[in-house]
Amino acid sequence: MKKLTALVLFGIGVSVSAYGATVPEIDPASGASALALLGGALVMIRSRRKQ
Amino acid sequence: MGQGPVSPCLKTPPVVVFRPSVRLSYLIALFTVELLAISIWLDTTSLTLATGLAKIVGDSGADILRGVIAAGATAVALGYRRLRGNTDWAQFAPVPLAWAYLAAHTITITVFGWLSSHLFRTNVSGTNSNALTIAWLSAGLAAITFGGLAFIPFRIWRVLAQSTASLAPWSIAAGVITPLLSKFSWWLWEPATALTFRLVSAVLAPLVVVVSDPAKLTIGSKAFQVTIASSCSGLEGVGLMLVFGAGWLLLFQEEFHFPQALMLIPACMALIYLVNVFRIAALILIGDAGAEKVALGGFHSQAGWIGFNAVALGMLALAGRIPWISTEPQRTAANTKENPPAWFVAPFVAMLAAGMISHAVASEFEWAYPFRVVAVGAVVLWFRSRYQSLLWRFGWMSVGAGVGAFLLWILVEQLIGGPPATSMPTQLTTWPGWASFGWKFMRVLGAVVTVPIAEELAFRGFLMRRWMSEIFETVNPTDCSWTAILISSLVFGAMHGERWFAGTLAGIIYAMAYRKRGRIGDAVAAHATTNALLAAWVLVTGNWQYW
Repeated sequence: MKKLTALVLFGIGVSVSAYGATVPEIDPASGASALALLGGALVMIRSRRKQ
Repeated sequence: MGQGPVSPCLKTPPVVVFRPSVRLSYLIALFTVELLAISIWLDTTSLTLATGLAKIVGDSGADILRGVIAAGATAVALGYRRLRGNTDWAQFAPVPLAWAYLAAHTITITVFGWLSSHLFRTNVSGTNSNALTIAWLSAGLAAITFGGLAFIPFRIWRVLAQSTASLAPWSIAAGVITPLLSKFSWWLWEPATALTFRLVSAVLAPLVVVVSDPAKLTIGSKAFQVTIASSCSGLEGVGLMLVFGAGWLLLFQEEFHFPQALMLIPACMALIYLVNVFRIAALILIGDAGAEKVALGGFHSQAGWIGFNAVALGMLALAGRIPWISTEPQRTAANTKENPPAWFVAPFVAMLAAGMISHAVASEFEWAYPFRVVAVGAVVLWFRSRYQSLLWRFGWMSVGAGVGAFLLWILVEQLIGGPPATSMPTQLTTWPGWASFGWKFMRVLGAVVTVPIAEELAFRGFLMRRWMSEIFETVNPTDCSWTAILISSLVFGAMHGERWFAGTLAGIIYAMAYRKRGRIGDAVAAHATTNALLAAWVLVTGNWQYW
């Protein structure tokens, strides 16, 4: 059930975000830096928990 | 700090086994890059007037692709969990990359591109259309097959398929549901935009005299108005948050109590939607205050990501502290231990965060650049005791490597082009002499000191060694493989946008300088030398596009 719920939510998310063809809300030009920031912060959070 | 964890030397070589997850990562990275390139290059709407099989591609190609991606992502996410710890990968000896298959992949993807240019750029019809479409699809499928076999041998694909066969219905379901939901989600955009319009109006009402036109969805003050397009409705952030939240809970479900953890998703979706409302309201207030260029420039570009990152990271940080949601033990002074990844990544994260903020308050010229220098400096100072055991000495060879990287950078720019030439920002030319000098000084200080330290700690000190082992701090840099060098350099290059190729080459040079003697100081010195020469090039020649 958890898998099904997560999959449905994942699918809805992809579907909704896929239609933002022009994206002034989430600017793709800033995407690399923003995702690197998110990834780096997640590395820090995850590694702290895994200690 | 414990001196052991950051010691760069470990005499015992790591046990080498075949790691399908690593190979799969290569494959996904390769396919992602190719898919992005193809998506940017080709547009299926150009097939609207086509006939036969080409018309089917034009009408349904994007939906099919979306379904395949959803099915593949689901298979990888669920398969990773299933296989983690359940399969004895030590039984498989390390297998080198199958270069023959990789060459076949290169040839077929080239043919696929060549056929694409005919299919999508010419008005084909009838029998020609069908033959061309079949050839195009065949080349694409062959490229996928050869790519898959280049990284993972067939016998291991068979083991992977047998071990995860029971997950196939979930993947197929995701592949079918996603395109259907895509169609279904169309009707959400209009009401979401209307609701955003009303909420922005409510937020602005106590602050300014609101001027609005509900028919055109235009809103603002007397001095400054914007039109809320459907793509500004907030749904994009909501969708991304849904993907992020669902993916996170799926991957790390053992760390959460269910069903209560599912509440995080709607809470974050609502929050990111409201963040977008406040983003638009803030944008209008900034424009109303006279800073129209800042409102429509840096703030418009950065605020969405700042909000998304704040909500996503806030959700994870908060969830981990709530025992009702998290299964993880709460942090106490007794169980809090060292966090080496943070020491290596934090300066880079601080640099990016400060960069987003400094861009958000700028129109075109990043006047707040010194903030980046201060942010990195503060983090490095905070962790200074952690860095003392790293080898900061450097040799003149690394300086020479930095000169080489500079020459290569300029050469690549000359040969394949880069961003258009720009001169000194107009705003900077109007500043008083001392202010202009101060900004340039901080810009050079950042390029030569804080950027090399932050990026070399993150990309070479962490990422390159993390590729070799989860306990990255025990990996001797001299033991790092070419794959680790290449992957970390590709990611480093990707951070340089249009200059990704020159960035990747420079990354390889810095990585080799690091690997040569295992000293982070060599990588930093090489990077600092390149940046110092680029700074001199900018200031002497006036070619500001290099900054």
